[in-house]
This record gives sequence, C-alpha cells and structure tokens, in this order.
Amino acid sequence: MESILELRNVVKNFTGFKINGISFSLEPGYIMGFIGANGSGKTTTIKLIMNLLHLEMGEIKVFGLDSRQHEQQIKQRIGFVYDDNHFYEELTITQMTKVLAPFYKKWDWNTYNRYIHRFGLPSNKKIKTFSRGMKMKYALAVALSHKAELLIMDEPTSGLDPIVRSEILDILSEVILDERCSVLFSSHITSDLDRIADYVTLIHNGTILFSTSKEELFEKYSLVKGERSLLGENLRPYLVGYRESQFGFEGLVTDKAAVQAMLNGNALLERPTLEDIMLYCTRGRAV
Amino acid sequence: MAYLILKDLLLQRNMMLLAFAYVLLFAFAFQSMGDEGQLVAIISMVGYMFVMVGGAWEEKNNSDTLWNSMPAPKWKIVGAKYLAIPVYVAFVTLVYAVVSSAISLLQIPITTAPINVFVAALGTIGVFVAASLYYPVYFAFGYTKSRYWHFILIFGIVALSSMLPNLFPEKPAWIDPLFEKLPKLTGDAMFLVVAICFVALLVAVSFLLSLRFYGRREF
Repeated sequence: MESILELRNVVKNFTGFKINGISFSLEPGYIMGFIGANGSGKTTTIKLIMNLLHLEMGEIKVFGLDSRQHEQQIKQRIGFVYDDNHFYEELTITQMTKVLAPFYKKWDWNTYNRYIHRFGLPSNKKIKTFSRGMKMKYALAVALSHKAELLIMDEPTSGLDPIVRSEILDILSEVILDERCSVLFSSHITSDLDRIADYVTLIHNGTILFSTSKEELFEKYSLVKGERSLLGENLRPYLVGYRESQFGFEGLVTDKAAVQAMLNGNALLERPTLEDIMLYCTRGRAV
Repeated sequence: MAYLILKDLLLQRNMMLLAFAYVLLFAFAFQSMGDEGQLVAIISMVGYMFVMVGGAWEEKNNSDTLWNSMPAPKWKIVGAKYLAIPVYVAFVTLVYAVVSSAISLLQIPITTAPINVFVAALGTIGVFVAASLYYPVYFAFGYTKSRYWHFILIFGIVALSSMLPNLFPEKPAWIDPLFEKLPKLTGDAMFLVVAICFVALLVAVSFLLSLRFYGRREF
C-alpha cells in the first residue's frame, strides 16, 4: 500500500538546531503519534511537510506526490490544526468560514454545520471571545469539512481541559473509522496517544529515534522495577535508561523474556506507558 | 481572490468608521493646498492608511501561517493586497463625498473641493505608488519590520518635498531639454494616460518583487 505521507532524509538547518536527515512514513487509515520533548523538532517537521519552511535536503511525499511540486493539489486534501490560533480573531466564525471555504474544492457546508452544532460553537461571536478549546474545535471543524484525507495536527490538545481533550480524541477516532483518513498527531501529552495512536514516531534533537507501531513498541520495551543490587553488569546491556532512588531502581529494558529469565522473579516487569518510553529513550541512562 | 479582499474589508470595519474622521481632519488640514491638491492628498493618505492597517491585521493574527497552509496560491495572497487598493480608494472617495456634503449642509467653515474623475484618478495613482514602494518590503519581512521602511518612505517624501526648493532654487538646466524630447503633453487626459502607464509598470514590477520575496519567506 502506498504511504499517504513519506519523509526521506529530510534536512533543515537552523542556528543551534538541525533536523537531521529524518525519515518516516504513514499508511492510509492510521493515526500516527508524533512525540518528543519541547524543542525536539515536531513543529519544524510539520512546517516542512506543510511547506511553511523550505526543505534543504531530502524528499517529502504526500499522497505519493512531491510536496513542493504539487503543493496546491496536496493542500486540497489536507486538514490542519495547529497549537496556536491562526484565524482572524476579529471575525465571527461565520465570516471566517465564508472567506476560507471557497479555497477548498470539496468543501461541504452540511458537514461543517454539523460539527459547529455538535461543538456548540456560537456563529455570531468573534473568535477572540472563544476559549482555547472552542478555537481548537473550530479549527477541527474546518479541517474536517473539506473531505481531507490527511489530518495534520500540531499539539492540538495542549492547554485543553480533560473533557475537551477527550472530545477531540473521540472525534479523531470516529474520523479514522472511515479508513480513508490518516492523522499525524504531534503531542508531548503522551497519554492522548496511548489512547488513539496506531503508530508512534519519537523525535529527539532533530533525529528520529524510532517510528513503529504501538504494538511493536510495547512488545519491545518493558518497565523493570527492583532493588538497586539488581543493577549489575548483566542487566545493563538491556537497559535503555534507568533511574535510581534510595528504595531501588526503575528502568526501561528491551528483550523482556531475557530480562525476566535473568532476574528470576526478583524484579517487577510491567508494560510501560508512552511517557516512560519517551522519557527513557530521550534521556538515556541514569535519569 | 475576491474573498481575500472581502476579508480585508471585514477586518477594517473600524477603520472604515475612522475614515470619516480622518477625511474631515485632512480636509481641514489641507485646505490651503487648493481644490485638486486637497482631494489628491486626502485620497492618497487615507487610502494608504487602509493599506497599512490591512498589513497590521495580518501580522496581529499571524495569518501567513493560515493562508500558506491552505490551498491558496501565493500569487492570490499577494495579488489580493494590490487589488484591494481600488476598493479602498472607492470607499475613501465615497466617504469624502459624504463628509464634504455634510460640511456644506452644516455650513462648517472648511473649504472642500468638488470631486472629479481626474483628481480621484490622481489620488488612486498616489495610493498605488505608495503601496508599490511599500508592499515588496512588507511581503519580504512582514508588517513589523516593514514599518521602518514605511517611516523612511513617509519621512523621505516629506523631507524631499521640503528640501527641493532649497536644493534647486532655480530650474535645473536639464529639465527643459528633457521635456522637449518627450511628446508634448496637452491637457489632463494625456497626462493621466502617461501617469497610468507609469503606475501600471510600477505596480507590475512591485507585484513581481512582492511575489518573489513572499515565496522566499518561511513561516
């Protein structure tokens, strides 16, 4: 199956920061969680995909098309939600949508009105009077109203209360059910992605540390907890990262079966969260 | 592109109301310029204010990220700014008509010039010239940085016009030979045609520069 989004050896240099030849791809019909700490390169990568930044080296293909050569054609099929509001705050959403809608060939007013009604967004109030959650819901309504095949979302849930976050995640799950739409969802709130992501890509200092399915990730990594005396040379080769306290240690290990056999029931092995994986993979040993 | 112009008008509703006050103020301030000078100055200045305020709204809302994430070609984003100028001018002319009628009806002691097509066209040319000099810098650097260029532009024009009489107390010798080589311009119509051709060229070059600079920008 052809990837809906494919990045190959993408390079972008800034003073003091570099997107360092990153590659990953997303298949149609899946949600990819794009995780990493603040300043790791998530937004820069998304801006490169959206052509808001100029690519220096490498290749970005969306729907199998070169992102620069077929920019307008691609953007007809992309819905986007960014962490900051970019709509005109002095306009009402009715005015704003009247300006935006004609740019999309497949704009569907019925879908739009359905989402506006569902989200309870007031049509006659200026966007500047909206809460952050309402602005995010409006952005989502616009993104979903032109039959987008790829949703690109940059930290859409940051700064939102748990109820609105949950509502947005429910909608994303619904959208994905049609099997046609894919989502690239960047976030440092990994619990959101624990819930909805099919694939996870971790970026750290402009480098992709892994890009894999969530199942493979949880098969590969385990969280181990035990007494500090167990932190011997035998265990260290399996440790991705660990932290010690006066009561013992906790660490992320690969090869669960081997570690289990080695520790012989003297330590606790648990399924890690995405946050554990992100933390230990990016900070390394002795956190 | 019409929707981008509509958006500019929707954003400038407050400016549209303020335009009545500006026109009244400038009508009072420019009385001594004579009929034609007063109207040209009012249309040029208030029209250019619309250009500047339009840019300020884009910057305030960080809208470049929005438009460049949408299927909106850059030539439309840039072109809409230039095409909004005649709309601004038409509105300012309308405001002038209302204000000058009100001045006349209320017998306010301000002298206002009657509107005529020639003078309105000169005002339009004035806004196009100012915007053509301003927009390439605006599209290259955004509103905040381009404000410095705006100030240089405005103060440069004011300073130059006040310095010219001192710099050239007598007509320079090269002026007459230059104009002898040009076809003799007779009447307003011919002057207007020449001015429109010049401005059309200036706007075309300005648009292409704006498009080039905007294409190089990152958001």
